Amino acid sequence: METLIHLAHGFSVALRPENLAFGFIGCLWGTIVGVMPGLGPLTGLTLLLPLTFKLDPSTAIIMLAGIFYGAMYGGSTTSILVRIPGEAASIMTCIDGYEMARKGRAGPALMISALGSWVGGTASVIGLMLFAPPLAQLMLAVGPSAEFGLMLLALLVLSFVSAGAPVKTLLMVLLGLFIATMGLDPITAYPRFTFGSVRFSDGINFVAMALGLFGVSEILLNLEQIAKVQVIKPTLRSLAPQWRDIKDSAPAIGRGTVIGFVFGFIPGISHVVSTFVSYAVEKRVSREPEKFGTGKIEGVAGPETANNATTGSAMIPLLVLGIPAIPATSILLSALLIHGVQPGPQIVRDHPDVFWGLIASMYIGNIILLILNLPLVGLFVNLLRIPYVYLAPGVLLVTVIGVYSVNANPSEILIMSVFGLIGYVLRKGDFDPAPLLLAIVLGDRMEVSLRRALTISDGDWWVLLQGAMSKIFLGALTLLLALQGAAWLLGFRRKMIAVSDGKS
Amino acid sequence: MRVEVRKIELALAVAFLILGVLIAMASARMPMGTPSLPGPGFLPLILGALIAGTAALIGVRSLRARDSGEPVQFGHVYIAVTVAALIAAGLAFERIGFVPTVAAFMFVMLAIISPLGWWRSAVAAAVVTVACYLFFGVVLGIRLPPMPFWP
Repeated sequence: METLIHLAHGFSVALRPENLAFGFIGCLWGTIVGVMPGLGPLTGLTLLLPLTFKLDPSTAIIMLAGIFYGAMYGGSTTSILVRIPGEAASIMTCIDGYEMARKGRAGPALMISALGSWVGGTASVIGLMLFAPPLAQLMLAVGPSAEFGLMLLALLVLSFVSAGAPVKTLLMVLLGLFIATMGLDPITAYPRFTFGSVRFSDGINFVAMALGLFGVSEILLNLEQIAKVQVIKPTLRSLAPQWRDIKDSAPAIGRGTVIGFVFGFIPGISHVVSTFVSYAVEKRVSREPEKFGTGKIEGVAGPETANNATTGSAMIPLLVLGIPAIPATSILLSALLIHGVQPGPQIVRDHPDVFWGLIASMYIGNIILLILNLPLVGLFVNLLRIPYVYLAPGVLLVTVIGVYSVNANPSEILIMSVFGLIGYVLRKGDFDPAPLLLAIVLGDRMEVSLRRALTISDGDWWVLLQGAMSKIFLGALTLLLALQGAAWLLGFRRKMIAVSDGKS
Repeated sequence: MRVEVRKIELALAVAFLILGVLIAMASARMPMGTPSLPGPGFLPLILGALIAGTAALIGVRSLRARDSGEPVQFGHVYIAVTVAALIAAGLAFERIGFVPTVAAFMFVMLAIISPLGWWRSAVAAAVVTVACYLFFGVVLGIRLPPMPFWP
């Protein structure tokens, strides 16, 4: 009952005209960046982040969250019609989605994908609404030692689920933790790696780094291989699926919802991994597994539902623990901090407008996206016809203006450019920069909680193992390490990487 | 230019190894505190050592790898132009102001990577600059650096 009262308050916030308008803009922009290959939710978020600075916190977060889940919807369109994933979470949709389009069934593929996205997205918001407040209540009792254990666990899970080589992920995590130490020491205010400049006393600007590592580097990668895309254009009439399509995809949508929701909690690339798992599960349970890859609708319904179902659950660690599960949510974390909203267990109590307004707006946003993605699919398809040679300078220009506007500091344009080049080289060497970004976000809090716990315990390191929550987190950490070792011994991991490389 | 991924990996490993050593050396000059109450240099020192160690491991692994993998495209004239234009924009933004920087950035990018040609690129750059000024400066009210030589 209490939840419903809070939800009603959330709707009173989300239905304010300005919140509806900015929520719509977020969903629309999210769909556009999802559709366009080379732009994704992270780039979309970083591009519009500086434009939210003058907005009310709840309006800003509603708009940015709209971009996040809007991009998940948009990504499927490009996968189905062009066989290029609009964003990483739509890689699996390419396989059967494009085969369906080639056989003249682009309409049902798009329709089922949009319906699955809506079901997955809405179900995960219900999960967010039900699980986040009790978890927040539980986490209020967590002290610095348990917080350190939680951060350590998050970083370990990150390297566990990452599809690349674990040693490379580990290096990225370590680099991220090092970058997080730059600036004034949080306990003693001693300057660390500031190069004698006051400008670096707060460390390196996170938005500039994120924009460089993901936005600029993605554009640099795309500039290397500018190709004209061949688009299959569906008609509005052809969108209606047959009864058999609905019957075949309904169980896949159900399974995709559960898989996506569970994977959304896991730090790393959960939104991408969930689609791989969903596709594998659909193939495993199918009576005709040999037909996967030739245009099976379950191969579209499952992964597309799963990637949208991660959006709500990925918000739970972000809002309640302040831990961004995926790179895109780390930008949302930045946005919350910029707007003076400290994510953590107290967010439900201290910022009800932001928390419940966001939940209500996600219900509304999912309906907006369903409406946007079906009749307007032709319009979005036309966006793919804009040559990249015009799009790239425009996007870069917006990033330059955007990153400057954060602190009116031109050196942040230089930082963004350098990190863009670093991101490009890293990705060429098969290093995923996502763990680096997440480690930067977690590193600061990790160090503070460790040193605070040691100060409180008068330097007793055993404090890290005391308390029920610490034991739970460190127990989970030990279990994961054991599982990692066992998986390594069994060669499972190598097989998984080979499968994911083959599919992408 | 096409380069084997293994070579890029090796070059990055060497770069990170050097970086790790430099971090550890710089951290060693900071107050270390005690093992029970660590100071500001404690964590960076550990991280520097771990970065160097992990990078060395990656380097050894890539040296011993039998399969060097498919060569990948590495570097392109458009990438050099884009990075140079971005750095120039960062250096010029407050020195010569928003309008000339944006106009020059768009002109260079369009003239070099698009098929528009010099004249049409100049016109397009001018139109984009005016549109950006109106949208970001006037509509959104973002403080954009003025031209120092403009009255």
